[in-house]
Amino acid sequence: MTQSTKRTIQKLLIANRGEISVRIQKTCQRLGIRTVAVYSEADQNANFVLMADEAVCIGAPEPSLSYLNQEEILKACRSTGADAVHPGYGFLSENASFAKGLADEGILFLGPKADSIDLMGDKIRSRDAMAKAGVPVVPGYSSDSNDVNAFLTEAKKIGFPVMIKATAGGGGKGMRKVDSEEEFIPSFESAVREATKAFGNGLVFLEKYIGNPRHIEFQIFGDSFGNVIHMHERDCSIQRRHQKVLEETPAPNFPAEWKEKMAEYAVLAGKSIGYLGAGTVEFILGEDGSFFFLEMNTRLQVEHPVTEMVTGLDLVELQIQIAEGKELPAPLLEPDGVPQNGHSMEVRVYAENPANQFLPSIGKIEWMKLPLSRGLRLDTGVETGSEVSIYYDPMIGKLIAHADDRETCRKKLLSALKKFVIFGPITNINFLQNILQEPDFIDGKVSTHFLNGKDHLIYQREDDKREALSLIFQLVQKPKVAKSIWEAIGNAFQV
Amino acid sequence: MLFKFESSDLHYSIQALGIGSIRIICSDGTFQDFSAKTVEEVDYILPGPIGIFIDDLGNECCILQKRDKFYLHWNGNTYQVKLDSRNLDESLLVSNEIRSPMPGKILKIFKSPGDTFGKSEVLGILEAMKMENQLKAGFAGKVVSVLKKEGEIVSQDEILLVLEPLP
Repeated sequence: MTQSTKRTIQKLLIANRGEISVRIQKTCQRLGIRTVAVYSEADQNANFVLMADEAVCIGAPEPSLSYLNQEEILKACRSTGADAVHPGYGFLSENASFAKGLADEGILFLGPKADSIDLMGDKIRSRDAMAKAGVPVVPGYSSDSNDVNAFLTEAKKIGFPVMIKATAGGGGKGMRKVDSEEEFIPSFESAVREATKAFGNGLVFLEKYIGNPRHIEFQIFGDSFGNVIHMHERDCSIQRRHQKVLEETPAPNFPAEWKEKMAEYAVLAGKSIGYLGAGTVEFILGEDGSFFFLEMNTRLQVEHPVTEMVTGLDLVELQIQIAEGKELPAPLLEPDGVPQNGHSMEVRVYAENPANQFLPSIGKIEWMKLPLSRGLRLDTGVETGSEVSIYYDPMIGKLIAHADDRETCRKKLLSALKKFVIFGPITNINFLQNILQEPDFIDGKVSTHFLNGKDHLIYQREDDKREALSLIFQLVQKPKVAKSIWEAIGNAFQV
Repeated sequence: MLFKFESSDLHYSIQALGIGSIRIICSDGTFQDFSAKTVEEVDYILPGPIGIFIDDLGNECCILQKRDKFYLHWNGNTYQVKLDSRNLDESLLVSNEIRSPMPGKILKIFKSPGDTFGKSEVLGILEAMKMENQLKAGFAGKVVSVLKKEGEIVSQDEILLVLEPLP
């Protein structure tokens, strides 16, 4: 690995929106780097736009016309003289052609090399590359063609149950669990149809199905000197339809021997492809301690704050340093050089209605009151008066807690959620509280099946709703004790 | 007056049962009584306006009314209800009595005993929850008696006017 020329970033363009843009800009402000926000017409009054040193409108609200519009973003780089781009997560963060386009213009990309993005974005090629490097991969089978009979033969070799997965994309599309030989062919054909419709590419591959799996991922960082280190694990098992709901570190009920081995392979995965920058190696962990490489994400992840809380590091700052050609700081390169202090948990607060199939609840935030205390962090891009838009994912923010141990952390996060007030859109806050209070969660018995069959977590209790209604009724009556403030503001609450 | 929570078809109506007791009646046929809580008003925030108060357990709660929606944060949870005023006309009478659909103040009475009226004519206006509710006749008839005056406060389901249909 050759040493790249050192450059200092003066102006960073953030090719993203909302909370991640705010978070990245905060680090830039601390480091004295000027910021450029790009925004769609729907976001012109958003926090992340107003806080930036410069802002450029890049198009209409639809992502394809703005946040996915590489040409407009490159134009914004040129017109503002930005010397680097941070893509955030989602949007163009794992788009190899965007990374290449920036490299061609001599603009630094706060992400890995285009080749890494390309390789790791292809589920089949990344599996093969990892297998070759000696990283355990889920036993499986892939092929250039969807020959159902060849697939059935291989499925029998792997042993049922097997998973059929789409190679071109995720989010559960083109994915099927097949329990027996008889079901295979119809499930296969259905998966191919679904994948074709969702991604324009119906190619699928097979993987052994892992029972009661946990999703454990390792944060890794690589620099241009060939160093690759890990920054411990995150347990992201609690998912709904393959979307993460809650993440924590350290992983609960996670023996040190398992961790050591997995961490080794995470670093090996990074080293084998000469990884540069921040990345995450995802594993699937079985109940018996067997683990397999699932995929690698070549971006800063949504849940990176929990790692920052226990390590005390600013991952965006590190990304900047690595992009500038610097080596990872020496203390981090020591054995056990990255601390893992205490416990941290994050929940994703969304403007969605769990009782209505988790559909987005859009509209204006009439009032928002944030819980604030030591050991709490809220990464958000909205405030009182903001509009939750139909064009983008309805995230209100990420609430992160840190404490000395898991139970204290859990209680702190729960207490914060109870104090978090959002009047306007309906949110999943009640659902998140219910998860934190669920006995299995308290015991650390997590797996990707955690939410299956737990519909009781979704609803507000009927008794509570009625009591709330009686309280509303009581409050809008004329108060028994007339206070001057009521009269002064014109009896707003009086009948 | 019917309330509705989002994504539930159930409707709720409220009855004040004497001093210190409130009955919530659900459209599924069940009801539940609650005693009035001791609440202490602490603060009042604009914009909103948001009322901040302490409930009987010492917890801080907040309430906001925005047009036909009420937001309440209480007991660690946010509740959102909507006033389903669409049902108001239907709940009005095809009986000879005009009853108050909700607690409120009689703003206007347009008729005196002996006056006639046409079907759906507005006989009076009840003010409640910052909204005006028209008291309409369900049939053409004559006013027999008027039991309340303008400015009088009424509770839910009180008889306001007695009518009789035209022969």
